Amino acid sequence: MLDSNIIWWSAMILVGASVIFCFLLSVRIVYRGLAFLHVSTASGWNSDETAVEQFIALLDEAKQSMVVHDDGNNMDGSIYHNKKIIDAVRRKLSENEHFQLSCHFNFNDSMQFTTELGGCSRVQIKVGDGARPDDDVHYKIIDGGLKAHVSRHEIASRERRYKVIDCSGVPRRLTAHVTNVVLQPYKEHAMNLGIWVAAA
Amino acid sequence: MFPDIQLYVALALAATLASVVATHLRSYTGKRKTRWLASGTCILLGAAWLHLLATLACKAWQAEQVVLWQLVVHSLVIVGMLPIVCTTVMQSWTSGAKTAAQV
Repeated sequence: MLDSNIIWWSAMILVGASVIFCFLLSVRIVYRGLAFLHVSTASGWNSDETAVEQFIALLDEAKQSMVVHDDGNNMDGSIYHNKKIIDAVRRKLSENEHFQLSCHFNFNDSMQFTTELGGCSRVQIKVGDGARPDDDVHYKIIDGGLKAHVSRHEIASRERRYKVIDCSGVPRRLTAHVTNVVLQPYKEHAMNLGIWVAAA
Repeated sequence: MFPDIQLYVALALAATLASVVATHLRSYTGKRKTRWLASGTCILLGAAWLHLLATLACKAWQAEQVVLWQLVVHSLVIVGMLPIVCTTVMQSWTSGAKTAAQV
């Protein structure tokens, strides 16, 4: 009788512990999954002018770093010839002594951006050999993935389809998890290029 | 004592079909509304199949204290499967967010 009681209560304790464990595990899974609802992905088409505004707006929001991958080819209207962008980067570097800018351009063309900012200590500019994959995605990512501007377009295109991926609304403790998932292809690409700057 | 099992089988099959359709829609569109649809149908699917399994288990067992064992088996099956259902639902949302981030 005693033995059967012990077995019964042991079984019940085991069942109870399993139930609690599974319940807590489920809560954790749901909590981490719900964080993805805080990611917003606004999209549209931009021109050279709006691209400049978007670059500066993104730069203004950055607190630690900005990672840029683009064609960087020498063409009229390129945002990397624009004085406003160069001034905005200089201002950011002087206002925020921890800010880092890391860029990779597919083309090794002479641009004002590279000639004027290439010598700054917290600016890293890498250039490719001019090879450009057809489906190359260009991106600008701030603060290790907190916000990103990604676009895909033909070379020297005047209008580009873009998407702004905003993870700033994600709870802080889950930001790394969410950005790792959502921005994984861009992050891996930047790491392969050696321009990725992780969040502090 | 036991509910009509045919009802659960029908419900589970309907939920499976709806889940498959919703998941396909989600993978094509990546829209938030479709993600909710996929999640809802996954929950329905999970609940229907779990109840079916638990009912079948209790019927097969034919224990003396049927109500008590029903409670135990239902609890174990439902709560044990809960993380799997949650993971399925959340993976649907995660892949939806990944799709939405592509340009």
